[in-house]
Amino acid sequence: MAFYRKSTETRISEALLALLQAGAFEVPVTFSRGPLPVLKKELLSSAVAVVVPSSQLSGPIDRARDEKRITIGVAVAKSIGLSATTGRDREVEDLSALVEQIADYVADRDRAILTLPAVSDGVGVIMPAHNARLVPPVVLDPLFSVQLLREESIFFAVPLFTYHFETLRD
Amino acid sequence: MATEFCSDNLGRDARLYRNTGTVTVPVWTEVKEARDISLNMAADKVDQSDRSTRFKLYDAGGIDVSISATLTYRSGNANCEAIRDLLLNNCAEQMLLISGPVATAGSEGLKAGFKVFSNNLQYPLADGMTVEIELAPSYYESPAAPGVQIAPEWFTAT
Repeated sequence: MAFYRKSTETRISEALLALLQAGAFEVPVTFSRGPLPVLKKELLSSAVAVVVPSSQLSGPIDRARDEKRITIGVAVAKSIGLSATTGRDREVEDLSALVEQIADYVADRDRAILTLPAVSDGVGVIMPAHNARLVPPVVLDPLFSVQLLREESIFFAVPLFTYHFETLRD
Repeated sequence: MATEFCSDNLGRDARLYRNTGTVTVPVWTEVKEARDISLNMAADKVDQSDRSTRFKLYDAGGIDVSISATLTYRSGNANCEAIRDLLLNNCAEQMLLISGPVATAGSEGLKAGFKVFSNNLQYPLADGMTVEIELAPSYYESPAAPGVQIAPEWFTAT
């Protein structure tokens, strides 16, 4: 039997991916969505960013509504060329600027509310359209993985975005 | 199971109601926008010490009652507007803060005509708007039966 229902983090990840794919960034980057970031060097000759769900907190807001706070990461990765030290540092700086540009783009006030499209089972709507609102702050800690850079020559950074999703209790 | 115990006194089960009907035929409308609610009751401490004992003696004076709550604020929301208007118009409304649904026997709480003494709106940068209210019992008569005071009472649902 086919299963059409989607988790809230999947719906938000899909909407965030669509938002990122509509953006323009100074460093070329390919956006995708998945459960894990891409960390295989052979796949990281150019910058890759994967939208990865991270965590969920849920609970009541008041006596009529519940909320979920879902944190989604955008895992940015690229293998760094083993050229002269100056070139490598410059590439790290460029990628750090890319990560910051991504964070600023998503956190822009005009893009803070994501529209989650309705989910259908082919017959009718099983999950209505909904909004999710970005809740500050955007977290980037650490700025990038020192271990992966040192040991694997991979730049890897994950800005985290937390979205607020509200539902009416029955 | 004979030994199963299920707690039925969660704060979340308590309800704040506004009577949107009449005193004789109440319609208890829940204020679902309420988040944390507290009922504060304290009696004045009247010193009655004398030479009969070394120990100080006290009696209880008037009981000071207040309800404080934080509500989710939404523009155009009926409960938020009604509570704000009570403050602005200096009017009282019959309300009930009770430990469970008013239709459930055994739920208990305070019923009184309340006036609103605080209606503080909060506009945090990174969260939703809320309003913090403080209610206290006031002299109250039924509009349908003027001249007869309806005093605050500890109410138990039957």
